[in-house]
Amino acid sequence: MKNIYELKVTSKTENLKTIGEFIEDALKNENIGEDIIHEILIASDEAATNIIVHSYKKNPNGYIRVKLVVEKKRIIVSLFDKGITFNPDNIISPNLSKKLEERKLGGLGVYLMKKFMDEVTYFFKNSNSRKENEVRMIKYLK
Amino acid sequence: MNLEKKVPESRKDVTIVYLKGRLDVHYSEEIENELNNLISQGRKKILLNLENVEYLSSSGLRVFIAISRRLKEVGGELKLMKLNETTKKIFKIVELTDMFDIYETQEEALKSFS
Repeated sequence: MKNIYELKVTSKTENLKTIGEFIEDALKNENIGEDIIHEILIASDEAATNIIVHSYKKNPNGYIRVKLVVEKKRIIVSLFDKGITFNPDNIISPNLSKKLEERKLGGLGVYLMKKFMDEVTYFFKNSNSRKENEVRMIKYLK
Repeated sequence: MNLEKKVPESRKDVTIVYLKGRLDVHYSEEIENELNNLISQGRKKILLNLENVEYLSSSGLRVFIAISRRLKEVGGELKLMKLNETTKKIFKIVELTDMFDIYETQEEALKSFS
């Protein structure tokens, strides 16, 4: 059994709220628990933010396509874009042990995605005939 | 995101900034500019009331870190109050809970400023 929800929005920062509301409504419709919903929302927002900031360089004329798949034992959130491919391996994880004055400001978004989702995988456009970049996040349900 | 400022009678050296709504990348630059303006105007003791922050992303966290650093450079202080459960969780996950002075009530927060 799986239910699929899809949305496509432009890459305006205002649409972060739209994406969040779409995912929240879909997951509530599936009777997913509040805690799980919050975690997926945070991860999805961070993923969408990275697309807007890094793939589109805040150009509002791109798009983000969201595909939410709800299965019995897992939820898959995929975000697709056609912006610049950015390699998440180039994002240095934040050093959380450093004092505030010494912490690098980047990397928190990817860190939160990995903390709140069980799997985060990137697929790049132009590899294996892909026309879009995809970030695929999976949350397993207990 | 809505931002309001208030100077409490009991501590006229402190500016309370009330943030309301989503603190994501769409609003973070505007909020950071507003807070930097306050600092430029000589307001170096800032208390952020986060009671009505519906959502806080890493963009928002970066603003808090950047403003905290800027205030430390000028001998100022940034404190936070009334974090909701989701915000507290994010602070805990990125290990910022001990890096900021966080209070449940305005009274406690205002007393803590030097």
